[in-house]
Amino acid sequence: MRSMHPGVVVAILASLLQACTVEPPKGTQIGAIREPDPDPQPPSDLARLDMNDAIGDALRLAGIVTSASAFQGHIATLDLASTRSCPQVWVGVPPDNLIDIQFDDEEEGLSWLADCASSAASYDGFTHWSTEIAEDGSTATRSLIADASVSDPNGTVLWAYNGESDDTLDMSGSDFTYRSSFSGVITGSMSGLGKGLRAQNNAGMDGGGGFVAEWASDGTMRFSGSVEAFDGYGPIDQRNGSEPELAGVTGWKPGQPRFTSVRFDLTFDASCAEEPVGFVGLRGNEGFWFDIYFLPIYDPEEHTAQSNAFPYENIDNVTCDGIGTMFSRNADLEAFALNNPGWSREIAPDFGAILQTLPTPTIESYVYTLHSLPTE
Amino acid sequence: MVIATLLAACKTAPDPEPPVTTNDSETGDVHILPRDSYPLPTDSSPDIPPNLSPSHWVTLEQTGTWLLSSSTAPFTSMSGDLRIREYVDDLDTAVPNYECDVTYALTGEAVTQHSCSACDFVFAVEHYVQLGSPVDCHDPDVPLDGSVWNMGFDSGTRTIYRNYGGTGLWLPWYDATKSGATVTFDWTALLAIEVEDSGMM
Repeated sequence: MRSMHPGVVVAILASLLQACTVEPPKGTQIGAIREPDPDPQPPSDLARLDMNDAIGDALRLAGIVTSASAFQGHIATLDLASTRSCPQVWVGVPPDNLIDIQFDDEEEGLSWLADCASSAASYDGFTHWSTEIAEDGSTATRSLIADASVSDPNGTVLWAYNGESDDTLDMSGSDFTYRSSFSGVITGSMSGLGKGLRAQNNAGMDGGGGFVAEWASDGTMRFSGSVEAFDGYGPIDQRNGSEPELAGVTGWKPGQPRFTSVRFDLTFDASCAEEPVGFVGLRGNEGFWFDIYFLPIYDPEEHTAQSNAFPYENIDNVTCDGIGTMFSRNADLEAFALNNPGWSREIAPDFGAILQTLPTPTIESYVYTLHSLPTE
Repeated sequence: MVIATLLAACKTAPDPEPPVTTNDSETGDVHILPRDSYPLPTDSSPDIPPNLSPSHWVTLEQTGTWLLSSSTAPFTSMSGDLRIREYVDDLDTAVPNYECDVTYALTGEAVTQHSCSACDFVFAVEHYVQLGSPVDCHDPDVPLDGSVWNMGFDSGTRTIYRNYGGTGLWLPWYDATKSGATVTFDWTALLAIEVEDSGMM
């Protein structure tokens, strides 16, 4: 069957969307075609929330939603194996009649496929991974596909991952660029991620459906996708539970992290070193979303379906100055700011300082060869 | 298909249709079939866990020799050989059916500035393929023709280490023994492998 050129398909879809989308009502937010009346109330603690701190935590969370984290637990649990038969290691891909993933027969790399227990750990499921390092040590890339769980003899999960990830590290002297895509659910004490997390890229346009995390020594960054942190993240919730927005919220406890999930489409590019293009949305533990918009992804004046999906008509500041504008529950907070002197809906995270804390892997961490396996 | 779906989405959504009911054509009564009046498909697959035992194995063998420039240090250079052979299941010794069988000639120049603290001596080992093709091998880390690897010998652990990919990470690569001016080394692994059914059985 002949297929249409992807560019033609995109153009047709864009024109169709434009044709059937009218000018959205004032106050439209990402994914919400509505004009609430009255605006939904923000949470009771909004005026005391340190959103700069929360965004910093969200970005630090994004920095560990990487293939490096997936590999960390994978290699750590492989190091527990004392033989090559538990878990059974395969050259290439595991048999396709035993797993629910169709691999290319020619796919290289290594796999384990197991339902076994040794004195140190029990292994269940499969993993397939490959690693490639340039002979001059300047570039390393690796990928991991897994539906696996490794537990200690007491049954405590050490590492469990159901998903796919890959990453690449390019080094040039002290300069580096790191790119990662991560999708799936990961947990276990050896994952180094607390109770674990779930991440994906619903847009599906970046990273093949995985959460995209990229950063480089020149200060550029890109994060795209959604993350749910099972431990939560962000500042401690200062509310006592009697607040109206917490009525009916099951499982809420005083002192728990204030946020649960985060969604990014955030890119630093050469056009503005101070402020990224895009947005970050933080989900509070009561279920409310806090969206902070920085420079527009699409020109607000073009009035396309894409540009109209963002509320830049309600944002005064679209200059390259590092300041984003926050909305809560898709509602404009200009009136809230007027009623709360000293509080501002404008947010200015210290992106440069956050970048310094992101855990860039080393080339050495990519090394895992057949010679690293137990000798039997 | 996508376009049609999008166009359909532009239209006003019709009211959902009521669920289909089955009426008796004569009386108009709704009939509900009794639970046991129709057969349910049964799961005929055996209720046993899948057999994860591999049907096939691949043996990876790597053996070689370094001939040092002298029998005592310092060693300024070496020459040698490396043979890599891989075969699936049992090897037919009469007509060896190797998956890959590669013979290399090795040359090495001493490396004095290195980070292998355990190594007695280190060479930059250049690999020349004399016979066979490394690309046929299953081990993803076999040397390609012309590859230069920094490798060092540690008499304490009788191991040859490799500076992997120039990372400064020295991995134990071969078991090795030095006798006079000769270092012999080898490495063997047995791993599971999926073999495509050729239909010849």
